[in-house]
Amino acid sequence: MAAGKEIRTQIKSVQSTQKITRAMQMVATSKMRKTQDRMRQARPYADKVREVMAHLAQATEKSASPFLRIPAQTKRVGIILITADKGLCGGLNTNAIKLFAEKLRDYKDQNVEVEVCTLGQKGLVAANRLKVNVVSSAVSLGDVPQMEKLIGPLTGIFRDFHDEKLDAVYVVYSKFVNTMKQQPIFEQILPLSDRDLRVESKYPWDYIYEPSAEEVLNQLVRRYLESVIYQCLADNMASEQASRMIAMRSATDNAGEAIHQLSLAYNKSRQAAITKELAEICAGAAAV
Amino acid sequence: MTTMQVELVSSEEHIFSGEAEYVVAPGSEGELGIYPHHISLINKLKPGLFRVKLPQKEIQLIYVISGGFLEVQGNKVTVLADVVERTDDLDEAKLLEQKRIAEEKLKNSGASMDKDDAKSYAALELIIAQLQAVDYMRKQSRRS
Repeated sequence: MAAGKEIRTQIKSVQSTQKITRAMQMVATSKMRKTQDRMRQARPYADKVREVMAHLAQATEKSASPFLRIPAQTKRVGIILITADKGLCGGLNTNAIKLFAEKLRDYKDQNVEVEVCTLGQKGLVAANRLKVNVVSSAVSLGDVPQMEKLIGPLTGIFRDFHDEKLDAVYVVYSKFVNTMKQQPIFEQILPLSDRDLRVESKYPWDYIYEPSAEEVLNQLVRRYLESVIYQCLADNMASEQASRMIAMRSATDNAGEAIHQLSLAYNKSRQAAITKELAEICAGAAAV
Repeated sequence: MTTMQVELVSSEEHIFSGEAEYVVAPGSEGELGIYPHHISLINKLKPGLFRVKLPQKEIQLIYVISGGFLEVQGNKVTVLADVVERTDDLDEAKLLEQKRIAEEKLKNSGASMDKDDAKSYAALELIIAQLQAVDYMRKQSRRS
């Protein structure tokens, strides 16, 4: 049995760990609410852009914008990998990266070239480790999703689709299902699916465009894509905080458990020492 | 008085939704006034003021937007703004100073436009729009 002093130091170290994890849990809890609000706030814009774009796509020819083309075969794809910047949030990043690696393997088997855009530190590190072609990246995104930080890295990948260098674009992120559950998702962004362009056609007539139909459509699709990614990032941030809160809560609980076990052991060893000493005194007295 | 439905959303949040008598928006080819039952229209917007005239009210709501799109369809106006600046805490002196700095920067760079210049040019446009907003609000408060 370990000596009393050693156990005491151990208890102290576990206690300070517990303090840290508890603080992180509380921070994550308060941030989680804000990130969830932001996730909801971003929805109206995405819905509206989709609506307008769907109207437009219906009113114009499919060939009006390169973004609306449907490639015959898939030779090169782009993947946007969204992860958190920081760790200590349970299996969130690991699960997303695992899904990403799985898809990479599938594409390799099919001889499809892949280029990657990463948002978030963890994803960048993983992508470099997997030795994939990272064309652009953004790190230190913070807790508030910011459109300005996204536009740069995304421009390249969308331009490549526009110029027919890519045949499809996908996104990997952690979808916020509820506080207890976050799901890694692999979703198609481009080419636009029918789901994106479906619309209840109340007004089938064409619009007046200013400046021109093509320019409006192209820019609108870009905005739509950006808003989709923005939404994914907002989702991912909410997932990150929720996942961190859960992970830190179980860490705090585990630390409490460990402290309990250690103090039990400490008390036992102290009692044993006292008993032993008493026995020695009694034995000494009996010998006299 | 007929009215129409107006929605103003930015990429980060939902800003305004309600009935209006008319709206004025900064179209890329010139300023646009839109009244109820306007023909279907999609228009690119440049940085500037977006004004909403509420029914039965003297004053107009003023928003500074940094560009985006405007859609009119079936008596409903939807504005998809990139960024919407708040107008209630604008400081004219500070804006004038920012404008001077931005203009200086552009003057120094000369004829060649690089990526940075484009950015500061956009920033300058936004500052000018904010100054317009200050001006407009001053006029409005004098009138009422």
